[in-house]
Amino acid sequence: MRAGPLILLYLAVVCLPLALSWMLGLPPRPLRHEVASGLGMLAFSMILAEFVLSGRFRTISGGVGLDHTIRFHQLMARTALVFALAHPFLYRWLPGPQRPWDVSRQLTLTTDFTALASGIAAFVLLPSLVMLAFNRDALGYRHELWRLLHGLGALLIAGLLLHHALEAGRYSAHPPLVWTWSTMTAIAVLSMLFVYVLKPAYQHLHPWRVSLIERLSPHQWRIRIAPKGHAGVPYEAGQFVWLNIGHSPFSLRENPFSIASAPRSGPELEFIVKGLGDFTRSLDSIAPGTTAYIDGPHGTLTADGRAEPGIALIAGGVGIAPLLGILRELRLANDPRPVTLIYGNRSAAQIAFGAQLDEMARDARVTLVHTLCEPSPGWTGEVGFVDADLLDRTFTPGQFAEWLFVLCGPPAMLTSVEEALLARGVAAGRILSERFEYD
Amino acid sequence: MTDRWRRMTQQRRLALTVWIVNAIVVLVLLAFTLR
Repeated sequence: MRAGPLILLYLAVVCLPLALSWMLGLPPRPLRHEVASGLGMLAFSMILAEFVLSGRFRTISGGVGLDHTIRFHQLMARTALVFALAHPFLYRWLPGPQRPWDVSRQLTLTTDFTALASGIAAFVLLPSLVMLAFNRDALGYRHELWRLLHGLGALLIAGLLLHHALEAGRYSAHPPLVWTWSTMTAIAVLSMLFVYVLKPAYQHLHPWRVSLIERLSPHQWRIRIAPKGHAGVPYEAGQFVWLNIGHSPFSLRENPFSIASAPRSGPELEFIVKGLGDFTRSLDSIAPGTTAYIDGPHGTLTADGRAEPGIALIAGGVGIAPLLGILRELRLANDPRPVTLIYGNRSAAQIAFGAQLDEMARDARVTLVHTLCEPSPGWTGEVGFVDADLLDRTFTPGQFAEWLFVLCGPPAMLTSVEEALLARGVAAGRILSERFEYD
Repeated sequence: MTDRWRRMTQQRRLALTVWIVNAIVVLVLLAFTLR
């Protein structure tokens, strides 16, 4: 789904309970109570919408990309948190029991502790969930444990909020709102079941096996997986999958890796994996034949269907993986367009597939530019980061004006290169980038 | 505005989009409150 319709759909879903409350035609309440009820309803619907913005649904993130989906998920969580925290403090308590004439509790707040307790529990849990997400790297949890805690925590909060809305809510006690909240919560729960149960079950029926694993450099491995008993998956060069090697598909032990192979080279998938993080530290223990599972392909970092007259690929470190896939695919398709690859690394030892890249650069259509931050004596290539000066030395104004620029690498590099390209007149629509780190 | 939008990095465009979404949500809340 493209960004515009997706945002309109998001706004419609988030504002739906408020709109329905409006349509009930109830007489307005004191201003503070209306704001408090409105904030509570908006916070709840935003929290429920977060479930489908987890980046695991291709219908949602297929058009805008996983990066933007997850970033939107993170930023809207902050808004929901602010609304939820403000919600209880705006009510003005009206002491005394419910008035006999006030059948729809227009003026009376509930004092039923059961109805309030679920809201209080959610009020305490929600900041914890968001803070846990902010500091997930610093806390040092394994990725799968963090994911499980985040998912179950969100599910628990959604359940508590549903109870609180239906029991303590005044607008929410009316049938149209009861149905809306119940349906929205059911969709959120089903989205979790889809990700945590149905997808792993599908993966269990479509296993892969490691066909090759070799160390490319001190910190980089090359891994190939082959489909076991099925035809593999269709994908576009430059996309990524969530990869699980040697664990049950229900274990949540999966990490995102870009596909470095080309679709035209066959059903096997190849990855370049950097030896950092909880999964990649265990790479030495993986043997050929080990069962693997994938969720994907995902991602929009692909040159498929692009008609620009030339393609610039700009990689930093392990960011070469998807760009290598694109380069391989272009060569296998005998694409006539010129391609320039800028490949930045710290040292020459970190250059992955150096010989194969040199081989591809013998083709007159391919220009290869290596740059190193810490070159060894005798290095004849570029020196330093991928920066504006290097871009100016590599590309002509005509190429800035017409070519497609595909970037993958560390976030700092992506930001600086994107800013430099925009300053040189490259239209934002001709810059594709993907990052797996946020905040 | 269109030209400025085109020259923004993807991260800035997303941040601006989120601010716009937040502003619309707050406006809806205000309209609901002051109806």
